[in-house]
Amino acid sequence: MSSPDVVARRGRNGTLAGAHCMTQTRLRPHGDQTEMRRMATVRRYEILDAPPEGAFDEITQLTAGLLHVPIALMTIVDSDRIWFVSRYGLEADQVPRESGLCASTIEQDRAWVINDAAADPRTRDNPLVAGEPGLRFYAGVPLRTRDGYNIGTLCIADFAPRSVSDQAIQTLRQLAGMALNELELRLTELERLHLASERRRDAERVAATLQESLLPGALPPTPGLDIVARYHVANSEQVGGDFYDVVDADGAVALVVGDVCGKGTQAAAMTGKTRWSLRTLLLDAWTPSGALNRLNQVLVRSADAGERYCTVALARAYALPGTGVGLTLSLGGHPHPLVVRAGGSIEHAGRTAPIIGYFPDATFYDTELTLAPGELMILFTDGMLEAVQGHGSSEDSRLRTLLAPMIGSCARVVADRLDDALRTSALCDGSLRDDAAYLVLRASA
Amino acid sequence: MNPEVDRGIPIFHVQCVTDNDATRAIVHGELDLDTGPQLVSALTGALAGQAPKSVVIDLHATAFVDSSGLRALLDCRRAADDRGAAYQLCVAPGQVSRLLQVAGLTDYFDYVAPVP
Repeated sequence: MSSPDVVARRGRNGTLAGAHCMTQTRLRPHGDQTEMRRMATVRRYEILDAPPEGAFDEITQLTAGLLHVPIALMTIVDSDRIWFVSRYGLEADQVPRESGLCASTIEQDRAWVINDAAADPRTRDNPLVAGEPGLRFYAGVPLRTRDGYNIGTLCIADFAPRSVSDQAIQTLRQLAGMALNELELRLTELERLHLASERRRDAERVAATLQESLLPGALPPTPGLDIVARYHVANSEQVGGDFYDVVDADGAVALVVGDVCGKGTQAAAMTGKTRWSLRTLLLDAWTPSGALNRLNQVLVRSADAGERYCTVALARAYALPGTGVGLTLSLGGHPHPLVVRAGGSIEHAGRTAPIIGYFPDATFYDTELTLAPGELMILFTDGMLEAVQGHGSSEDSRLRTLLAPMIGSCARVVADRLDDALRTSALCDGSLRDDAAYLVLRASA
Repeated sequence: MNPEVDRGIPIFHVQCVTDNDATRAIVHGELDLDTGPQLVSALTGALAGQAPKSVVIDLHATAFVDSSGLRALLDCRRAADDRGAAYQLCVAPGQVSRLLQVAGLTDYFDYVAPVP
């Protein structure tokens, strides 16, 4: 026997039989505190029953090649079995945890060498020795984690008895170090993935809750006005900056579509402030330009003035029995809503005015218009326009083409068509680049 | 690989040139939520220790500006105002000028022609 490890162990324990007895008594220490902690460490690596991995297969292949043996295994010793993380030259995924080979290797910190397993009392009853595949030579080193637990082995085996040099054992130790490094790397990566998915879930939950609080629930009943609003968030982890609202206000219906510059919780705070300020302003006798003017004053005086601003399209709509819907529209830095006329022509509605919450001296304007029964008006954010038109486009030709044949359709059908267009665009880009909100108003016949 | 390069959009960068009392920041790529702050810090960096009479943001070569990019233009305006410098934009017809128009900002900026 040439391994100094084994010689030293023999010297310490006196006889092979003595070593065997010691191994036997410590082999299945279920309930033993150390074994419980060792098993906790094993489970932490999440390697048991994992599919084969290239990095480990390379190590066993390299081990067999370097040490000129037909079999090399990287194993994890589970409570009742030995799981082969990677096996070279052996056809099995696992074997029962029987004493003598790997199970004994992890019971101590040295190399465990059996030169002739069939003749050695420690191993001759082991099923891998007594039965198939009839191993005769075994040398293994424990895979020792940084916190000091032997979770498994890197070992070599042969079908014939043989000896092993000190140098070969040294090589096996180095390869075991490599295997452990790979396990650690893999664990770090797993932990990173777990953490990332947990963070993502948290972020999504917060965003969804916040988003819900920023959007109206069911829209109020609006006789004579057929209204559908839709909202799509580009990134489910972040609260979007787009918002819409439909409010029953002072004998008319207020339609709001807006976009707060920026994303995340600060933008959400501004969205909330904007939406609720508008709701309050709309309780009084109001005109859209008057409401935007007061909103602008509120926002330019707020603590984060100059940091954030928003764009809003605000319309006051009222049913004109028999003749459609009357509208007063005011814009603050917002894309012009589109009006689809009965003949299929499409018009821009509203007069351009500055963004809201930045310029104290901004002026906003009212535009009056009427929708005949069946005619449509679509209020939307720039994210919607960009999604339909394509990134970087300054036109609205596609949106117009999409809307022209929609005359006569109810608001829900128009909204479904727009959603289809958004979905197609999102498929092209992988996801929406920006949030998209829109509101479809149809004058009921 | 940079996905923006894959899509054929030039990588965002700002080139700041100061001469004859004028600081000009030439913006390449897309000015948006991510790149807006880079323009602001590039300009404030270029203005440090300088006292130009005018600041020009040259958007002639800018592929795209979104509503968050506007914020950067407004922040740059404040940086120029703080130093008593005139603030001007150089804008080509297209998406950027259209965005300024929709945002109702056309009248809030002064404009210069691009440097030939």
